[in-house]
Amino acid sequence: MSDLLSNLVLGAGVAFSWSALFYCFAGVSLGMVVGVLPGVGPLPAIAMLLPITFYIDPTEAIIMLAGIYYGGQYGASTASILLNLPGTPPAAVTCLDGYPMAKQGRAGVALFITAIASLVGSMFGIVLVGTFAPVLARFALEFGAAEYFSLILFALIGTSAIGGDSFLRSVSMVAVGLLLGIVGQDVTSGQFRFTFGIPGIADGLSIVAVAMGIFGVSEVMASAHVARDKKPESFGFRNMLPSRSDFRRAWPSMGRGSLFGAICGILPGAGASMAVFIAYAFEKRISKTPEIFGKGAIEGVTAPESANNATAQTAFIPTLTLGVPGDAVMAVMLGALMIHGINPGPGLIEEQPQMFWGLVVSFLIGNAILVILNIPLVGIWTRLLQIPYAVLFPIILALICIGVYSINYSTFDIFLVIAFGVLGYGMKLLRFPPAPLLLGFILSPMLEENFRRALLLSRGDWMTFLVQPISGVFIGLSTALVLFAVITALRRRGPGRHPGALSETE
Amino acid sequence: MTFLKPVGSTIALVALAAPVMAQENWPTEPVHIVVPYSAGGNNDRVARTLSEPVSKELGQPVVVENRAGAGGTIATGEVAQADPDGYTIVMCEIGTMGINPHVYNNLTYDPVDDFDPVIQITSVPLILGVGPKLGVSTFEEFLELAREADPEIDYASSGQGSAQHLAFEYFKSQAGIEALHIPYNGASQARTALISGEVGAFIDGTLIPSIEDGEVTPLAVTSSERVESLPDVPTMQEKGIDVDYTAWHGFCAPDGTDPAVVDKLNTAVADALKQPDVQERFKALNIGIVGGTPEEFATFIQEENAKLGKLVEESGAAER
Repeated sequence: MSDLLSNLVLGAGVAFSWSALFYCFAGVSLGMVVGVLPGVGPLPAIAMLLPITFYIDPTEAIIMLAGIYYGGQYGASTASILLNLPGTPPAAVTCLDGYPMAKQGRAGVALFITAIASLVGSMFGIVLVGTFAPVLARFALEFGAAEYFSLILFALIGTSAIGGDSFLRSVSMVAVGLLLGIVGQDVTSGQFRFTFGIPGIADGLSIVAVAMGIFGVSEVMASAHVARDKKPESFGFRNMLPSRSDFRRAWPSMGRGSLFGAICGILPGAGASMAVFIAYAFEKRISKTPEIFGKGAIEGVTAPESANNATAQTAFIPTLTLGVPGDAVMAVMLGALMIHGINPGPGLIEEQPQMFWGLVVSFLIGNAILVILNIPLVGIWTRLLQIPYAVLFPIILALICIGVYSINYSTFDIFLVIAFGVLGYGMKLLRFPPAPLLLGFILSPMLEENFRRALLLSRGDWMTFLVQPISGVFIGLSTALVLFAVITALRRRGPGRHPGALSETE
Repeated sequence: MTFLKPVGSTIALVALAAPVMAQENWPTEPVHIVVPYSAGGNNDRVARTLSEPVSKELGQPVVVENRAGAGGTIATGEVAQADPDGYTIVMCEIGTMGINPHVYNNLTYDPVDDFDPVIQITSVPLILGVGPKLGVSTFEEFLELAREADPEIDYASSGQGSAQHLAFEYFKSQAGIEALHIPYNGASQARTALISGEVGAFIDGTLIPSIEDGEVTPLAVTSSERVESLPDVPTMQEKGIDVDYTAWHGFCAPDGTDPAVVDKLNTAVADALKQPDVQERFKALNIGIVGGTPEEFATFIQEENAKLGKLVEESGAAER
């Protein structure tokens, strides 16, 4: 404990210098701005700033780049809550309850509590980074192909089995998502599947285009013919403050969300998308009032927001201590360190204590800055909703198009986002939930790759999924969830009815 | 309307003169370097390390654009079709110019005919590394194990048809050993699997940090000469296995670019590569600097393309 304290003092010495504070501030504010813009996200911002960092101290460089990354997580929820526009795939889950809250005139509350939830998640993640980084990195190495397959299977079954209102609709959407995820080049064989010779989808459908299509574009289409309720909204600070009962419901969900987020951040590849879906599903499952989820439940906002911010912090653990980046952003960060002659790996904390602890303390400072920046902005953001639809909708559509285009400079993606908008609109009319589709779609390539890799590694022995302990546990849990769902469905049906026709439970 | 005539002819003259002027003054607008892979890999690092010093040499901004897709072939094909005005160039490398033309059967470009090579930037020797799975620490032990093991040992690659995949298949055929290919999604995933002991071996150019940490044991290098930062690691040729294989990066302009523009670009990049701080950054990334003239690079690409085509065929790496 005294070790930790002296380390934090060492880090504070680095992070509280004027120049470090400046780069931290610059990073988090830039991150927040690019996070708010749908589709842009932190990756291009970090990549563009990389050459500039050659000329500054490596610790300050990484403090700034890291600030863009976790600052982006704060910003990403804004467009989701206000406009149902998930700028990043994980933010899609925040749409589920955040946007209904905004529609009820509680946008200010949602944004305010999101800032708090983000802070809680980040702090939890930072504590883990500071105390257990090397141990946790070793744990991540225990996850091989079989373990990832079983974990993903569990996440898919878990999130749809506890979907609540309609198990079948959720499962069928997961299945559609899995199928959409097959499009593109197969990693194992190198074959192109369902690409029809179109270069724009040779590497699969763009995740951001799918997410923004089925959430954002479809929402614009659905609202376009609905006259806006002329509800007089008040923008006083008091209306932004969550009530005491809001807080009572939100606190525990933030804790649970942080935990799921932190775990997924440590596993390279699992990432924020899986964390937010699990966190959301878990909240719904244990809630005494699962029926209000999707209609503006505050836990439905706070749990995923805490989760994705915790992920953003703990994702540094494998990157720094194993040299294993979990996603493209972390890979750029790794490159930035290497160009400065710092080689991430198990020895990093001992060899570069000033850098490591300076970074940890800068996380604390950066998150504090973000909350201070965010709270006053809440009032400004909510005024966005006062813009007449006739003006707002074209702007949203333009932002969506620019956002998806900027990711890969592909015009095809613009058509794709519109096509998925139409699909999402159809799903909305038929009451098919969009979130399970997105989850299935995001996890589909990972599920398949790891499944086939595990079988290659075991030379075709299927028992590999059961005999490896971590994998076996997840398979067991998944089986239990399926049995649970089936038994509940049968029991609800009561005796004397035909037990086979599950589809009639709708 | 006669008074418009002189105006019209002036416009025509200016229009005629414009391309010539553009080439003499080139560059008058930002130069775009298209990296056909997503940010985070060596291609991206090389481009971004050079963007700033080259921009100073040229006096115009240099913009790096990541356009990933299908092993780099989509963006490379797009640049092949771009205006040959020197403002759009592509990061070309062993995969897009040497291997993929022999692996993909529907490429939209020809690596030799559709480009005017500008300069070879790097040469990256690959290292055969093993993790904890195999329990060997020398090249001889590795060969012995690979010959005897049943089931066969396995090795990682960054994907079907990648430079790393082809390198190992080449090594396998030259050494007469068996090993099962396990494709991963990118080099960092493959490296993780090597470190954790999920997979036995990996031939790659980014292993040095993991070697320094003691997570990976280097057994041999694929280049004809030893690697500066690993002086004790033998080449495969020294050990009697005839393998000579290095990854490389360079810049290529679309075919038909004015040779004067190509020369200007070549000089700008070559000068940037001579700067000590640039050299230091490349050294930190364990990337060797090459340089040279456009003609040398053109010959090099032709040779590599022919050599790798033969390798792809012999090793069966392209079997679909």
